[in-house]
Amino acid sequence: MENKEKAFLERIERHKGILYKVSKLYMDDADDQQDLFQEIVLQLWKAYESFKGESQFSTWMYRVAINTAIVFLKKEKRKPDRYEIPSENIKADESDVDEKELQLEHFYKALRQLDKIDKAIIFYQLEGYSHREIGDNLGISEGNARVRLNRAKEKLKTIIQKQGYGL
Amino acid sequence: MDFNDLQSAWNNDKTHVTLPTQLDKINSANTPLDKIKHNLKKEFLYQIQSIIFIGFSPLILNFPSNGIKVFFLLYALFVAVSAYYLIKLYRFYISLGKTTLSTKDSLYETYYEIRLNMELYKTFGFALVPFLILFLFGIFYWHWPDFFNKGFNSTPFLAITFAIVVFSILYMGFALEWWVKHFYGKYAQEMRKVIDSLKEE
Repeated sequence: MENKEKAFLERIERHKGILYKVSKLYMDDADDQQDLFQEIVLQLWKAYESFKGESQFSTWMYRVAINTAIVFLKKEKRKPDRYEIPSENIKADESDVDEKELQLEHFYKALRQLDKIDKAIIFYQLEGYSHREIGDNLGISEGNARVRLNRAKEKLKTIIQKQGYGL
Repeated sequence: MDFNDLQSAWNNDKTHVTLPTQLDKINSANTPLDKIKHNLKKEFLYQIQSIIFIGFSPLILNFPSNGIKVFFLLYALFVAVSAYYLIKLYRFYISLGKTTLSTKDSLYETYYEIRLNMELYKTFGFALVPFLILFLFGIFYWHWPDFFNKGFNSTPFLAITFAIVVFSILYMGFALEWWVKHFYGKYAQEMRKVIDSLKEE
């Protein structure tokens, strides 16, 4: 393996969890999540050449990941899985479905009902980005990011309430 | 469940995932750019095959010896026009492979690059209209030489000329619109939707 590729994979290794979260946020099907995850890694690798270090590596990485997720298309025809087969690459920390996992599942389910841009805004919010940073990453103004974030939170609240959870 | 619960659920999501070890083995196929690249690649292959195949027409259709020189003169022009456009489209194909959607600006640039090349593709099609007209004339001359023997000012000849020209232009116009929309336009539209949704409100 080339040194450059190795260095890239080492850097991505530290952030792979968050990249997979992006995939879970945008795709509901396990196979689609895996496809999107791979696509994000590939797009990051393609863009790595142009990464000049002017922004933090994680900031640059999130931006490429979110943009890839936004334009990613679901596979048009996939045979419905009668039996859910977990991907070989993914395993949960604990096998027992506890309350936290259930809560997490509801959370992702609700997030996936938002539109692509709202998902991105909530993602950045959950990653601790300020309104200005959210705006910078999405190419919108700080004010617009604030308005959109509040609106996305409201939508999320309504969706979760409909699911039977209060927010 | 409040937003802090969501934040804590998000922070506690520790799903394990394995990175792909060989990056060059990842098959990218599910972005609008990949779809466009895939369709362009297929088109290159078919078009190059078609150009070569057309070169053998005199042999396959048993052209009369006096028509062969004219055919190859026109064929050379046809190849030159096709090569010009195919090289431009190939450059676009290569640039798509290097495109990264790292910023909103790159989304814009890529979208307009796609639109520009869709128009280039249509121009390519229209540049081939004279060849289609000559081809149809050739067929007429082959099967009904009487139309030409009556002189270029005869009503049947003028009617046939008019019909061929109108048919060729309309056919190419509609076919190109449909083709470009079906194989490229719908993916450009996907990108347009994303750009529109990022517009200031």
